[in-house]
Amino acid sequence: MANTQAISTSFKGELLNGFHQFGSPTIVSRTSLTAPTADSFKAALYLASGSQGAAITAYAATNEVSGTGYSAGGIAVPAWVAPSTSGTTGFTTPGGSLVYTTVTLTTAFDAVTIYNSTQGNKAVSTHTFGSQTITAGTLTLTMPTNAAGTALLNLA
Amino acid sequence: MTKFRAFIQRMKIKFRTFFHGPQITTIYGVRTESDFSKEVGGFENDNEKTSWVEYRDFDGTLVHRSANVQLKKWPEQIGASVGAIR
Repeated sequence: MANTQAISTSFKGELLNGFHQFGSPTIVSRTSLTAPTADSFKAALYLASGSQGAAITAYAATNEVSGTGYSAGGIAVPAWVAPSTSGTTGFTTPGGSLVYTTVTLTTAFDAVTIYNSTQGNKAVSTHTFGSQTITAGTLTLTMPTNAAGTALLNLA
Repeated sequence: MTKFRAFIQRMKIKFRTFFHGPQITTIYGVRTESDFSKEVGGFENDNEKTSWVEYRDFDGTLVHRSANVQLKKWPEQIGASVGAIR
């Protein structure tokens, strides 16, 4: 049996839970250091003409959709399923769908950006889909299966 | 008061549904579904499974469109690696 160079799988799950802090950034207090509360996350929709992606660092209104029934900044993301690990992957997914109820968004959009509204609106991820418009209707973004490789957030 | 209004709105919709059939939200407000032409569609690829429903007026005006996008997977795995100590 030989030693193997690797990142501990448990560490990946612990990162998603905020166990480790390597630097000393200024963060918003989570009330208790020993039993912190989960941050709040939001989901904003972006026009197909936008440029959301890996380079964004925080929520911005530029190229965000606008229309009846939609508030700038988007909607609250349901509480995330408790981060878990499987194989060598850490993962988590929101516990419910993202539902934009009774909105009219007539300009085509194709992306949703999830960001941490507790921690200065820092960006988490952007997910793209086929271009859509909504007229006096509801957009439902159903979450993928919360498992290694399919969850919305995977640390592989 | 807001809850009371919402209750009244739900009762109105139930009343209309009972006497006139299913109701939908349109650009004209809540209307009877059968007053419009209905079209459904969808597509599926590696990234998503999407379905949509549209209702149009007699003159072709789009009065309602809803969509359901089932995200299938995280499009990119976040890699992690450790550096060698030499």
